[in-house]
Amino acid sequence: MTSIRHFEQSRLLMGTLVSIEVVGPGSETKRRDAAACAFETMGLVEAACSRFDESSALRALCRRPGEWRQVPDVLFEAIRVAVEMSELTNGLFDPTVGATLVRHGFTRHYLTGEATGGLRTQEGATFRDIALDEASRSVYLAKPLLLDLGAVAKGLAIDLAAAALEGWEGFAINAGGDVYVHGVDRTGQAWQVRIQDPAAKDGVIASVQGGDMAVCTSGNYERRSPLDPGVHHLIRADTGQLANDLVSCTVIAPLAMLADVVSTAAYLLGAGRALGFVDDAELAALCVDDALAVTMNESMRGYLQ
Amino acid sequence: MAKISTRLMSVCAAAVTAVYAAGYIVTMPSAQANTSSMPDLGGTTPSQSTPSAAAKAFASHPPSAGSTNAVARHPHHARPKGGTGATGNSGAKAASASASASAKKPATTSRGTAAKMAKVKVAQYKDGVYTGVGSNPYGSLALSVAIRGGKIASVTINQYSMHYPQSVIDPQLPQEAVSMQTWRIYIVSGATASTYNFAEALYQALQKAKA
Repeated sequence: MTSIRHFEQSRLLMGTLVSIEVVGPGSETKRRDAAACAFETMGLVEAACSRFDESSALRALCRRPGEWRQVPDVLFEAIRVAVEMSELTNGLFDPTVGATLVRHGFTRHYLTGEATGGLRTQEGATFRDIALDEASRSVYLAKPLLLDLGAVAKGLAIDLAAAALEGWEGFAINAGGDVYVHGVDRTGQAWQVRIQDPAAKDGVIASVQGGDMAVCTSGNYERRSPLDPGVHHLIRADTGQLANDLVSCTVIAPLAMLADVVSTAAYLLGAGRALGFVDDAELAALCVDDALAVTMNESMRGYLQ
Repeated sequence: MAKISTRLMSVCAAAVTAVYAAGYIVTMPSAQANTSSMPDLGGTTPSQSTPSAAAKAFASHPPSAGSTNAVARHPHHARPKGGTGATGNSGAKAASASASASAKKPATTSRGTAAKMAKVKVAQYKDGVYTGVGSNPYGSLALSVAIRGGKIASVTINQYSMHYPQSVIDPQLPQEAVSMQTWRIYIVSGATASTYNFAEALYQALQKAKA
């Protein structure tokens, strides 16, 4: 079997391991440089949107509540998408959940191990305390709060990396389980993306195939609170409670940002409402509930192998 | 209220486009991929040519199911949003030849982002030798960093414990730290845990060195 020339590399970015594979003709250097550019692009998003990095534009914004602050485009857009999803879910999804996550111990920068803190926040802040001004790209935080753009920024970073890799025969970007694939893999065939079985580390519950698709999973089984192993990182903003009757929700969308934010919201909605919500978004979803039963919507069946 | 699908798709597509237009895409003059111009937004290109993510963003409907006649033999794992490096194993088989390659700073960016990045990278450190340690459930690492002329001159790993040999990260990571002048180490060669430790230790050492 012939193998198309390809290059694969992994870096630590955005709190996770990001792998990029580039498939296409030309020199090894070209493929490697293309991957490097895609990584750099993702790094720019992280530098602006990280909740953990004191020097990020996000932290700078959160240090100055009560005043209009001009922010980088990438941060402005990430906040806008997060606020949009908050409105659609009536605050179930809410980017101001950062302070709650801090209380549960999700405070450490993944590389430095340094605890973030020192930021005064106010109980009861919600997305309604965020105002956006399109023309000046400015954000106003009505209360002291800490933004968490985890569900949005990683998707945006993947989509921008995909744009940076435009023109290649094929590529795959895998950021800790949020995947975008384009074109063909190294065997010249459509990419196949496997969805991990939450109950078995190396098990696979489904395999989907396609090109130019993002596959993102929100689940409770990988990231646990260092303070309490019963606490994971997906917390309902409206009640402060954990969303617990789903183990994971996987969404396929044309953009990673969309797949990421919809899978997170669907996960928070819980088993009863997740699939209906994804249907309304006209995307494909597969859910695993706490009895490890797998359900999916009709759209998802079209991707299954 | 507009349909959920329309609202979400348009706000996400607009976000990607706006950030793209603002010059956040890192490109290379020599790159094969032409990223210097906006992608074709018509979205009418056949699937085997080069439809871009951004172009797809304007299709405003999910893609149809992938062709069913192809049998992919190189699957990628979709993993849940993972936490620490200790769990990130699926993509860890990175190209080992990469350390020297990425040490070169290849990127040029548009609209001043390069300058912004460069500014961030010029850290002012006091000359001297500083130590740092990093540890996680999988092992630990201690290193010393020598600062000369305000820059990272060398990094030496003094203590190392991990279930795989030190040669997996040494000398690649110390070399990369010197050439990139930062603790933000990116390259992993199947060595996630010790890479985290290295970055943590180097960060700690550089904090001590801050002028």
